[in-house]
Amino acid sequence: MSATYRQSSTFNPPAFSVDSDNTWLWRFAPRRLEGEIVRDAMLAVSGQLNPEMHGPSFMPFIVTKFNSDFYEPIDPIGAEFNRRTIYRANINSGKSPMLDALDCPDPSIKIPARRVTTTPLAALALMNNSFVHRQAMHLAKRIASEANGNQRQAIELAFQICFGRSATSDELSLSLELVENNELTSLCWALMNATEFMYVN
Amino acid sequence: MKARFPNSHRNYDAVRFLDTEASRRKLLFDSAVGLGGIALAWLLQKDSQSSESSQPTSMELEPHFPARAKRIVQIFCGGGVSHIDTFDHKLELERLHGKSIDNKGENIGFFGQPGKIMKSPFEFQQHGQCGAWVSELFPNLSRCVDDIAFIHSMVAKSNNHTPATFQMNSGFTLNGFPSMGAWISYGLGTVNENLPTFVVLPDPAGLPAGGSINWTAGFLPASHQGVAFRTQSGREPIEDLQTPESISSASRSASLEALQALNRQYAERNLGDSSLVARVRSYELAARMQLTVPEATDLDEESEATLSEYGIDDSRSAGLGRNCLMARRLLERGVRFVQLFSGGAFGQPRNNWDAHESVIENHSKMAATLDKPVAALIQDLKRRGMLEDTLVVWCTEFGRGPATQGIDKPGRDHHPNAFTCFLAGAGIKPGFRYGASDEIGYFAVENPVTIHDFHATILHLLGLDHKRLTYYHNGIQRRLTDVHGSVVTELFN
Repeated sequence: MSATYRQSSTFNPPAFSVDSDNTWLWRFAPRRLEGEIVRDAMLAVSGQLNPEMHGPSFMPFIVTKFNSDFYEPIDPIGAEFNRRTIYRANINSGKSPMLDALDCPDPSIKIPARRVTTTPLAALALMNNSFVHRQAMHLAKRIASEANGNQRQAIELAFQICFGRSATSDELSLSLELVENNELTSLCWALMNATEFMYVN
Repeated sequence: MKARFPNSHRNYDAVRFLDTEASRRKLLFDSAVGLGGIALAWLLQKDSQSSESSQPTSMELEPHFPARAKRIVQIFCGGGVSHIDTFDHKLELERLHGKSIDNKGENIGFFGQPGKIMKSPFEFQQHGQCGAWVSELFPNLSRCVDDIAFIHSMVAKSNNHTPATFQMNSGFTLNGFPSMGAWISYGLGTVNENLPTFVVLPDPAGLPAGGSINWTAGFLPASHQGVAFRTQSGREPIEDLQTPESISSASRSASLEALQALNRQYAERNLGDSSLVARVRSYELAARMQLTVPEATDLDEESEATLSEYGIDDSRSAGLGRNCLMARRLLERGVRFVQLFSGGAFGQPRNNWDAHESVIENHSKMAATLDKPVAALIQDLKRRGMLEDTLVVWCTEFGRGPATQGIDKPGRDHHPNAFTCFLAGAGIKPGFRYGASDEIGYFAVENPVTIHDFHATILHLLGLDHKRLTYYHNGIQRRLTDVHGSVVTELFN
């Protein structure tokens, strides 16, 4: 592997000043996870991921028939729907608003590389989608039980699970303040919405 | 995103903007939000009246040349509106009623069982100063003809609904190509970031053929995709718009504040990538959208008279009436492109303009849903001075043939070789008719206008050159108009 390939994403002011787009690869550009993987990651941290491989796709939509089939995307509950998103049946006319907002392309076209957009609609989906809330609740239950009800430990665990690192002292106090007046779920929701959760450095 | 694919084709991406502004433009496309101060304070202000939170921000892009139209509303009538029963009056059909069609070549209908020529079951009259012929189907719309330019020589590629619908909406009969609204969003950006740029209002009766493919961003960045509002009453207009009921606003504010703190710190720790800053801002805009979308779509503050003018007090026209009024409110608030659909899915009972069995029954029913709302929209825009820079587009995927479908049946089959669409408003010659079909409305014989020409003309009115509005995809600089299209300048005043 080349030195270029193995670079970190550390910021380098002189390099940035001459090549702000990183065209000449002075660093590894931070990148957002693909929409499917954001969903997978939420299932993974909440402990709900169903690792089953192969077999028929899961179908997160209801079909109504009026001379033709109409697909309405829904958020069904159940282990069969908690498989990796690659196992989802992806329907042209019944796409998922959350995955759409995270740039999952229209299944009817081929694209050489994905664009990444950052939009208020994506923020709304991540803020309010019932799937995200359910996973935040599962994560809260998971860390509460693993920390035997110790609030501080639960918070530390949440950062370890979601970000793969310890919370800084700032983050710890911010989180303690949050969960003091609100449920642990609200912190889990914030971590799952965080840039750090869906970006790779 | 910038430098995400450093060794690939990024230099060809959005070649329209390979100028010195390239980097800024690309940032706007990819982020839909800009850099700048990140104020969180207002998020905690629950007061929706706060001036800071209600102040719309603009991310507008310069058009190629001065635009006549600032915004556009399109009414698409699914199923195929019969031109010869609405706006394209053919006296000759009365004379030839009951006779066979001669000398027109191969049958071009979809079902291939043409009967005899059938005159229109509807009375036609001339209206307005311009004397345009309109059938009795549109008593209200006929009063708007002096603001309208009819194109009587439209030609579509397909005689099949779904490909023809795709062509009218994306320029291509195959699916997966960006819709016109997505191209316009890509070309012009947004004037109010608190609302989507491209809003789709489906008929409450259901989705058109092909569903959401008709407003897809295709290979353009996802931010240009049409946002379809849920137009059945009682549902929030955008999915996931509101905070779930189980979460108190105090709890949401607190967790949002924590989230924004985490995101700001992350952006500060990882300098040099604007998308990280854009993420912080996207949550601000999302919170604003939670206030602006319900306000824009709430018709409660409209007067009784307005509701009645739009036909909202009549069960037949209430659905499209609400959508037309909502369209005006969205256009007023800076939405660039509102696309309305008249007619839902195909099949029995007929739910759109697909009058195979009976033109008189089907078109009477459908016209009653559309006449008042669309007339009211045009008049209302005019009264507000908005018609001067708002383009109104009325279209359908194809017309209907002059013969009956089957022997002695009162229906008509699909007919792509001649049909009528109309434009009104910004830059359009009022009270004008362009092109003509032959004596029985079979072929477009004078100044045929293809869908590509139609699209090129619409883009031109918006200040966009259809040959320069391109996007590199799979080896081709793609355009809305493929490799075709001429601007019909005769339509401009």
